[in-house]
Amino acid sequence: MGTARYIARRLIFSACLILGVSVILFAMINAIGNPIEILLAERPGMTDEVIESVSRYYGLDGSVTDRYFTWLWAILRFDFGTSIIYNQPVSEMLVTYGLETLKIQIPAILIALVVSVLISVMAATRQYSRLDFGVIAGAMLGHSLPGFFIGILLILVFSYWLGILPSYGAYSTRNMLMNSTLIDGLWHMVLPVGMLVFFNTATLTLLMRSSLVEVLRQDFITAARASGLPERRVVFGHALRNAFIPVLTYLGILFGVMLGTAPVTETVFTWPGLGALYIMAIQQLDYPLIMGETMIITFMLVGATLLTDIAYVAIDPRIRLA
Amino acid sequence: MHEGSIPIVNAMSDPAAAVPVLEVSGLRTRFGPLRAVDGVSFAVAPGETLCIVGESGSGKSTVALSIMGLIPPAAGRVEAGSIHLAGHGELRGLADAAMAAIRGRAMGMIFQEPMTSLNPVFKVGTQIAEVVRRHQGMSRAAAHDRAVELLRLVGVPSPQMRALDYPHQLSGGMRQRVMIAMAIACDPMLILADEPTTALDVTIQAQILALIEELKQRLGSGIVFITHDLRVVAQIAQTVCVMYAGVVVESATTRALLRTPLHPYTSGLMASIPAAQPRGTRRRLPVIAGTVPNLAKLPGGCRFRSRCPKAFDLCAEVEPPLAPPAKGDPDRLVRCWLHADGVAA
Ligand SMILES: Nc1ncnc2c1ncn2[C@@H]1O[C@H](COP(=O)(O)OP(=O)(O)OP(=O)(O)O)[C@@H](O)[C@H]1O
Ligand code: SF4
Ligand SMILES: [Mg+2]
Repeated sequence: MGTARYIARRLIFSACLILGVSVILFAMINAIGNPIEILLAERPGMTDEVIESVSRYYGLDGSVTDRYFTWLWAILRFDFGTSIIYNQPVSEMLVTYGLETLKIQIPAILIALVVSVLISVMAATRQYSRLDFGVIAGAMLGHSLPGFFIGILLILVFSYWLGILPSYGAYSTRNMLMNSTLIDGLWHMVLPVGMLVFFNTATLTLLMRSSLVEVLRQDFITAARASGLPERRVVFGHALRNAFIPVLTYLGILFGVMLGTAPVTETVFTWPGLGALYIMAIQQLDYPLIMGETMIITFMLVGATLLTDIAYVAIDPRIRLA
Repeated sequence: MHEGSIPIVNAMSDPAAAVPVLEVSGLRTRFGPLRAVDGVSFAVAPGETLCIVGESGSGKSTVALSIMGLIPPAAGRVEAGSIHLAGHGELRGLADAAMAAIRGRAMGMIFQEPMTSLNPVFKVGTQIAEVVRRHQGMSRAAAHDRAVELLRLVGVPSPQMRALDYPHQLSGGMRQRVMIAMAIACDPMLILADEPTTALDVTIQAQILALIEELKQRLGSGIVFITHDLRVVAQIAQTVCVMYAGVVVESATTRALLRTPLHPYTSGLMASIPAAQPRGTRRRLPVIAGTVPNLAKLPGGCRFRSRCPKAFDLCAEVEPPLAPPAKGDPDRLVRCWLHADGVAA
């Protein structure tokens, strides 16, 4: 089967998956009851008429199926309705807050990837050396410490004691650092990105090192050396590419759950991203926002899985396209 | 007498070709306490095929990897001896980079497992071309053309197309041809083949043996061919070294060795050759009763003693030297008291 057909099939499958999630999400939200009633019923002076008209305004009248298809049609046009609390279009908020989240998550994953490759190569080519044991111990520790603990530690050291890095927000509220939005923004990114890099690096290194150790034992590595390739080429050209195959799944998950793990980071650093917004939305029962966020998270997860599957085909020729 | 001082058997009928491609003497390699190779010497002339035979664990692969400088430093090291490659001098003690420049160019190695010896994520043509580029500094396109030419040379049908295949798309026999193409890519003067046919079907085995023979004629290289199969030896070798527990116990021309084996271990190996092995079996036959001694805790005396049907008192006390037999051909060597001067068995 050709690559194009394979990708087409995966795309259709992904679309079905997203559709399925949308049904479940809608049913669950619906089971909670009419949000307008929940939100407004306790306020003084609410008549049934007012509730009814507000419900109509938010499209909450009509049968469940009707409402589902109306909603589905809307989100297909990237229209998630209006946030109840912020009174802004949810789609606009998803973009604004989403960019802030990507701004710390993407660099964190990429930096962690490069760092963990370098550490893994150093450790795996010196298997069972002191350096190797140090790397394993450090990675295990980093992997098992809770993320927020690292975040709070970073704030304590760099913001509180040393006072050189900001501990909250994406920009300074009063004076921008060096009067530049760019530099000020980067300056604020350091700690949250640092926390994510720490966590991602630990896990990626554990996986990558053991995978690399395994690959370096293979016959084709000895054969590559026997054909006179320089050690650097053997490790980076021949071993790493193979060692990367099992790591790919985890990398895909990292990208996929990016928005799912964002709440912790964004809460610790008061970062104006989707994670913090999600928590706010749930606390305030902002239904359109909750549904919009959930669909975006689903979309990211399914998208990352799709990309991982395609990357596998690109990196490992043995995979049968079925 | 010490092994290092023993004259090396030269099996070539033509003494003019006596300048050996490879001369190994007193080679010792150990993995921690385990003496895998404990003083091995031999020489290979251009155009000569020397077979190293012996049971599993006798140290054959270790000899080949020691010559290539590929003993993993974390596991073991070459402790003593000299490895002399014509035109390159002494290989022991060369820096890693210098060794890497010789590997694949002046000496090529073929491995036992064609299924696992090629990198699964690269096209076979690319893998061959990489070796050519590394040593001969060709352009990408020229190296690819050379890879196709090499595939044709080793008898791969439609080499243009096969060059674009990944290893998993090829059969075991085809992969082994690819490995051979990689090993000979730079016309090496020495080819080390470590049981290159053991993992293959009998019919394919014969084809690969014929191919190696043909390439040897063409390139004039010396070949060290490792096998545990005396029938293979009979087909391809001019000289044989029989190894047991890390040492050479007998070496001679193939003809002499097969006609009159002197060492009891060699006799045992020959007795265990079955008349005919069913097609497709890759089973290693039980060779001789008993097992190879623990190389980390060798007892004194002859290493083969515990399994030798002819052992006598002296065998337990002193290790026999590798020396020409008291009676018979002075060109062969045997490590057994039965054949030593002035020792009555
Ligand atoms: N990397 C290693 N680490 C530790 N011991 C090793 C290593 N490689 C080989 N040995 C040991 O050295 C001895 C000789 O092994 P070697 O592979 O040279 O035998 P062989 O004659 O090639 O056997 P086979 O016919 O099974 O290939 C064995 O006892 C083996 O266990
Ligand atoms: S020296 Fe003794 S034990 Fe060793 S092979 Fe000869 S007869 Fe057998
Ligand atoms: Mg071996």
